[in-house]
Amino acid sequence: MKKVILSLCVLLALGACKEQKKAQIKEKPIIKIGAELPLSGEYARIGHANQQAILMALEKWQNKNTKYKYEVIFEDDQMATSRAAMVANKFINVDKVKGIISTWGIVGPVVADVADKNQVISMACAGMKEIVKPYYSFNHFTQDDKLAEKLVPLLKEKGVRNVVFAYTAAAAYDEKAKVMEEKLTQNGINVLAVERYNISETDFRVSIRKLEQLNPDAYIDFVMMPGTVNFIKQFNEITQGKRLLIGLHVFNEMPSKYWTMVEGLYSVRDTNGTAEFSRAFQERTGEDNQPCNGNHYDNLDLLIWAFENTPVKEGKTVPDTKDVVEKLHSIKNWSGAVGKISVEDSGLINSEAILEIYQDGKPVSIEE
Amino acid sequence: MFLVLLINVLIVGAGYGLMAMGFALMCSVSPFFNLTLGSIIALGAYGTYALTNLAGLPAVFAIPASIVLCAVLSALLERFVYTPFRLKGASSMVLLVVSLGLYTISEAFIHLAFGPQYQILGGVSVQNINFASFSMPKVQFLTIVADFVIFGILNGLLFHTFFGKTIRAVNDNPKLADITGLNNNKIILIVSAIAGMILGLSGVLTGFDTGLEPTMGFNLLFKGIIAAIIGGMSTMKGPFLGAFFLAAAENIGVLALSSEWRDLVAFVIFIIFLMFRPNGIFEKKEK
Repeated sequence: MKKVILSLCVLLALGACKEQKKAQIKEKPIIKIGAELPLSGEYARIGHANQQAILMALEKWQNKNTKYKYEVIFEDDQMATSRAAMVANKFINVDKVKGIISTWGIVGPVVADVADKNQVISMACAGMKEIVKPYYSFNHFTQDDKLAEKLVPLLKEKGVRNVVFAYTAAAAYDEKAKVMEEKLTQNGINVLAVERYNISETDFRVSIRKLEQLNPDAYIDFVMMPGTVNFIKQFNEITQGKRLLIGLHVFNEMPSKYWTMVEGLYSVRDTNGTAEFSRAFQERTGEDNQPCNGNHYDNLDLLIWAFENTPVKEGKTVPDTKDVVEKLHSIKNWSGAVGKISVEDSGLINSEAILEIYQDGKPVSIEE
Repeated sequence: MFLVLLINVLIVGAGYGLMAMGFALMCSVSPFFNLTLGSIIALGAYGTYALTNLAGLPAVFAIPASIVLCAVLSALLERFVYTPFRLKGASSMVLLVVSLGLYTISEAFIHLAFGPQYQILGGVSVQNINFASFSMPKVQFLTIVADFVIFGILNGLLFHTFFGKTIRAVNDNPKLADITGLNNNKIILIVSAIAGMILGLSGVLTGFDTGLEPTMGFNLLFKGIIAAIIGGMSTMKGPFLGAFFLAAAENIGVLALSSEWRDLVAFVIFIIFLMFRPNGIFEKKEK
């Protein structure tokens, strides 16, 4: 009998301890952040990589003694505007998130708009400036003028007078083409033709031969993956190495096994992570660093940092979103996964472009 | 430029032609929009990828093995999915929905098994073949050869053999064919295996030429369906030549407009044909 009573006491004591521990955990307010990424469809490769980058940032904070418990909820938006709004509304109305992370120009404006109306912070990685118009939205992406700052001197150095653009038909790329054309023209370089392709295009032969008739000095390639692999392959078949091909933002999107295809070629690109970050990402996933990975790591990192460092008003358990926005705006010279970054007043989180040359099957930064 | 255009029409048209002939052959005995044929195309490419790039087998073994696998899968789908539905009197719409479901499952399976990444097939020579001032990768040349050879074989099979007669009998009037003692299900099963082989081959060749990704099957099949409808499916000449017609229209569109209008050109032609000549260019004259 004694043994039974003793066992019951021990069990009760253990249960009490467990409940106390639970209560302690419960005391930590939960801050939820939604991440809508293309986890299926044509862009799933990037979405899954971005998910891993976000989890890397979350794990970094989970290992620290934070004031709040952070939860990231992932949803698939297939990078489609129709789904983007639905997912953003679900995050806000059902999950009650404080912030939303989204990828790329197609969905960015939709998410920013929904989030702004509901006073929720949105953090994008998109090649469009328009995303950051509303107050609550931020966009962490190397802007096109930074890319032009690297491209123009390269073309001048190579004696290029006439170029053609080949790129994927998408709003962000149209904007990029517009900025590049403006900057190149200002510097006396002519854009002879612009050829736009569908995302699923695999046959570039006739269009390359059409462009060849214009006799350009160089091709500026910003055809998105997977098209760019076929574009480069067919470009090499047709031009036999007689023309200069410069990758704008796309060579690094290719898995590393294809880098031998662009041996000796230059690439101007937005940053998606420092060499250190790329190594860490590869060690974790066994995959190459993908576009927006470093940016999304930073997006969550900055968001959590801002929540952790924003004072809480009396009677509240978590900081006001407006105060967190102000805190985000105060970030200058932050050492992020993509290098030094600063949050501009507009909400843009700009970073320096990178100029690389592919040597021995890998990109080498020209600055190095 | 004309020569360039002509050669490109040959390359692209041959690719479309294989898919169109596979689709038309399947349709001749099982007349509905079978979207799982897209899964067969993808299986041809991914099967070869798994055997060469992952298992390290030589391409000379991997390619035939993948094609046989496609034939087997195509026959199994017919035997265990579509035939039971057909025996229950399912309409073409029901069969289309079933095939859509199966296609979605197969795409998800490829996604899970191989990941969403774009892949390139390796293991065979990628040397170019040169004629005059034009150079063409070997795989594109092989696609053209395969297209013409398969057209010849199918034409011979359908119009110069007894088995071909039975296929046409099932196509013309399945009930009458059944009454006269033909085993319709067996004929459909054999035809689906042959169609599976043709589509599997087209998947392999496309994989070597332009790479592979999980959604490839549907995109490719759709062009094949358009080509088959443009040409007409009453003979093999229809899909074979319809593919070149589609490729020519697309490439002229690229030349005159821009590459981004390629699909638009294809779909405009598709709609025009559906409206004004639904049985295609080589429409069979009713006696």
